[in-house]
Amino acid sequence: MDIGTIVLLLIAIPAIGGLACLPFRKGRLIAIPVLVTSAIVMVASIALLLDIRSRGVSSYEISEAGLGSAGWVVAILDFALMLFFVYTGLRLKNRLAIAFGLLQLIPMAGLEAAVYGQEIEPALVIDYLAIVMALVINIVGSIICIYAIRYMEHDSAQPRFFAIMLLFLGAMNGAVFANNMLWLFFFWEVTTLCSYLLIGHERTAEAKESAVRALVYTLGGGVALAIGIILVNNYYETLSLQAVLKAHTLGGIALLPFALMAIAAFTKSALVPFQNWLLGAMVAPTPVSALLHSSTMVKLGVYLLIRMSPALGASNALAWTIALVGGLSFLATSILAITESNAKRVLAYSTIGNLGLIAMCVGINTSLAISAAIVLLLFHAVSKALLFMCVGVVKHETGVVEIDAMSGLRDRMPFVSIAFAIGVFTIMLPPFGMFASKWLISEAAISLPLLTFLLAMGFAATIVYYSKWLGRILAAGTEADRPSPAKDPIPGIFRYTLGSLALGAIVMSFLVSWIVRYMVNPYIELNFGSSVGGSGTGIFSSLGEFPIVVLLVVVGLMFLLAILFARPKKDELSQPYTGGESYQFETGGFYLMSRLNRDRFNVVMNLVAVALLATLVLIPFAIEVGTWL
Amino acid sequence: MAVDWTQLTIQVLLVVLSPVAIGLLFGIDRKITAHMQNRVGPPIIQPFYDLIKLFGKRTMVMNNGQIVFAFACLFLQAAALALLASGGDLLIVFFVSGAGSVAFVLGAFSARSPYSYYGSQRELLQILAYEPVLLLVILLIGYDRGTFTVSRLDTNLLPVLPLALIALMAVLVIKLQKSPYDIATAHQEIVSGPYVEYSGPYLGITKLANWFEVAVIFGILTLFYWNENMALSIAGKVAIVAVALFATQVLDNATARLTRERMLRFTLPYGILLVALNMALIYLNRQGVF
Amino acid sequence: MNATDRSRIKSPWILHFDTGSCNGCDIETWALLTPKYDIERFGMLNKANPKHADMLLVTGPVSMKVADRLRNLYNQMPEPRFVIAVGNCACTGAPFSDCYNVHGGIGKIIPVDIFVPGCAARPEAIIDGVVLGLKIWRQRAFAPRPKERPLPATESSEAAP
Repeated sequence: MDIGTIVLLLIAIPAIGGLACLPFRKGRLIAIPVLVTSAIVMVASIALLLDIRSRGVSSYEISEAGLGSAGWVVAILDFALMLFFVYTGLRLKNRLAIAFGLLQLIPMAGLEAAVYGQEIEPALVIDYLAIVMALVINIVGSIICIYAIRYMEHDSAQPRFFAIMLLFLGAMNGAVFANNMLWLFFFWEVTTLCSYLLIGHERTAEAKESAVRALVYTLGGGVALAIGIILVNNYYETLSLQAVLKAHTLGGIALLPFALMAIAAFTKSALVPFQNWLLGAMVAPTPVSALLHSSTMVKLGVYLLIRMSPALGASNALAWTIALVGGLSFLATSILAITESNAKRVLAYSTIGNLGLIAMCVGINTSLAISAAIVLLLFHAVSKALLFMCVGVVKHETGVVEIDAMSGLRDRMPFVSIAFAIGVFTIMLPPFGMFASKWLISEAAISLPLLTFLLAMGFAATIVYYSKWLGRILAAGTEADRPSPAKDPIPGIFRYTLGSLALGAIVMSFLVSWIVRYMVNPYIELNFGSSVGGSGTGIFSSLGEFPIVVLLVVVGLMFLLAILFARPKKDELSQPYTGGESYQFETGGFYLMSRLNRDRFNVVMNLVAVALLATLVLIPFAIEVGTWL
Repeated sequence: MAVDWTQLTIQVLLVVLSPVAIGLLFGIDRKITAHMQNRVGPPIIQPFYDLIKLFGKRTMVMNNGQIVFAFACLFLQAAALALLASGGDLLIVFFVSGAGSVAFVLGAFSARSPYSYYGSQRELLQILAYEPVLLLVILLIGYDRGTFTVSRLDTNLLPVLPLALIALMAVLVIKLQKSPYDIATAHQEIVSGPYVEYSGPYLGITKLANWFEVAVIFGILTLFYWNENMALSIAGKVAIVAVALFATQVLDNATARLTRERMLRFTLPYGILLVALNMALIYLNRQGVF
Repeated sequence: MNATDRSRIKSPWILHFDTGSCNGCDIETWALLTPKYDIERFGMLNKANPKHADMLLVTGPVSMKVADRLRNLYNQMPEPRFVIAVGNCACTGAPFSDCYNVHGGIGKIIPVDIFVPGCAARPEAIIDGVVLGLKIWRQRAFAPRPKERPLPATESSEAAP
């Protein structure tokens, strides 16, 4: 099958599938369009990977001419969308939304008029970075949509929900393949729209408020992106992302569009000081949090940063400022995650932290760092989706998402506890997947020693809040009272989706070396020259080696032995030591900072972040002034 | 694949004999502490009597999670030591050892017991206090040498990283569970903390895991001295370990336990500041200021 | 004597429990930890946790309320273990043996190996008792001890609070 067709399928089928969901009323039948769409996009994305591999090229271009009148469709839908945003702002009487909507509409209208008739080639570019993102979007996204079928079974507006979820998948596919910046802008804004609609899905007051806040923040980012694109056209006279990145030798004021696009990326990925919208977005149903706000949409921002990384290398000051924003996000959110007792907010902070790490890698801008960023992107999506889905199952079955209420979950829901444990292990512990990226980042950070301080504290804080939470869940009574995971009364769909992601996370950990060699390095070699090699035993760089296979074998053996032999007999079970007493007790959680200190911390963090962003925008001007003098 | 049998044997011996050496070190530690307190103290091989006695007791646990994580801790710490002895990547050694600490904390959480719970929360705070400093010291070594592979670190680090060594002392105090920072296993306060629900053979396993953990940190300490002359090199490494241990003992006997906030508020700024100063010195040195 | 038995003799860890004494015997027991008597030279450590302890050092005539706690602690000690009653109160309950609120000696609640008399029992006597206890323990080949003593039929135990 032709690659162009596959990509079109990936973008169009979810949209069609979403529209197909609308006629269904409540009931089981809505599963049909969702399942069919999921199957098609999963198969299509894998087919894409295999096709590119078989061709042996690192990138493949699709021109607009081959896509018929797609350009017109995109332009018309784009304007419709921007008008819709202005209309929404008017309806909500939100001045910022109106202002941002107009600030997008008018300049973009001018740009479209200015480039009318020009050929912007190629329209879509498929390279390994896009394929990695596409695999994440389609496979993880499909699993989450299937999970949502069961999760949303009691919801009153399922057709609308699934329509927007599937539409979102198509938009994400379009965004990662787009090379024409106008198209990128269009798909970017579609994801903004989907996020706004999905956060406000429950129609409660809190949901509406969070949705509006998300809309305003991401619309602001859209404005920055729009102005950035206009400036790119002004300075580089092209709207093709590839061409811009190759022509990045222009310095000075011509760096301003990259600074603005970086700010747009920051808003989309909810890095500081924009993190509030993501925290508020946690009121959305859990599939939304899993899909949009951890695995895919927020990754769009850092994806753009990774795309721009060759251009950012032109100015050290620009790159370092981006690295500092990323590092600050990581450090601050990791510490704040220790202070949260709501499970979804902890995961939200963790997501922002990891996205900050990716941004930091882009800022370091060496081959090692970008490799680390892509590995992190891939593994984080899988593990974080798994964690969100586990929290969702707990919410669905018990109705609470407080960490303290999950105490002793291993007794009540052993399957979910084990899936949760696998999620936490793959996120934070060696030798599992995300650890490889942690190691690569630590090595990369030496190029910019100031960042090591942000990293060190952040890593330790990560361990604290995940261990604290996992420990709460694993605190169990004795063997005799616990059902085995096989007899755990959770619905089948949950079991399969959670199980497949957990298995996927573990299998991917085994395959890190293969992933680095065949999916990451082809992209890295294009722009940086690869510096992370993979061998049969593990991955290595110029600074050291990570013997993955050995460690995985040790860990696997150990768990196997322990589980085989860890069957305490009835008479070996004991009661906890409580000074000889025999009463029931409850322990409270530990949250490090008081409310007051937490607010102070937030204020300081936001101030520093705003200062960094101001610096980011001023740097191009400063360089320009410097060259005049 | 050519295998250097002598080197392999030496490395295997290092890993297998390290617990023995650490056990003796702990015995000497108790003896010297006793003499500092004007008493006689147990014989030097007392830790081995303790360990063998523990393995001989009947098993008594609350649930199998404790068992799984106790084994996990032991295997991970032993793997970290094996990596260090075989000249592997120092960062991986650090992270694997850190994973062992996390496994221990999770094992303590697995038992639904109030003292165990408080002990593991305090242990997490200890990790929050010492891990950044330890990671920074290791990153500093990588920054200076340009590599993390231990087998390529054959140079004398002491003249270049003196402040990092002093920062490591705080880490050592916390890892060896000595005053003023024996917060997690605070005797008389929370009754052995995370160890409280372990007994018999599994307590022995966690103790052995602790010995491997201490062996790893001492192993990192020994990296700070190196000499072309093998005998001088070994003597220097032993000297560094002995001096560090004695310093922690003096500190242990001279101070009382402090609160966990004090531990965080002192260790982190102190450790990070020293490492930052050291890094600045190295950077200035490279620019040719000295 | 094999390595395990030798280690058990050389490293007996203590759990000290007070079942309502006047603290005289407790003070003498803690005095054992001081440099003057230094029981750490025998490898003894004062572990406040029954799961870590080999020897249970009990003082005080067992009051009604504390009987269940004593039984719990004794049951939470893994084998091999042995029990030492320190002081006159722990041995027979004297001078409180005919009070309405005490059981009269810990022998009524758990099986005891060594009785160390005295009011308060001197540290030297306690050390003497412990050394004798280690000898008897070895002679008995560290055999498992009975779970606990059933209470006499006339008395009702305190219900769990």
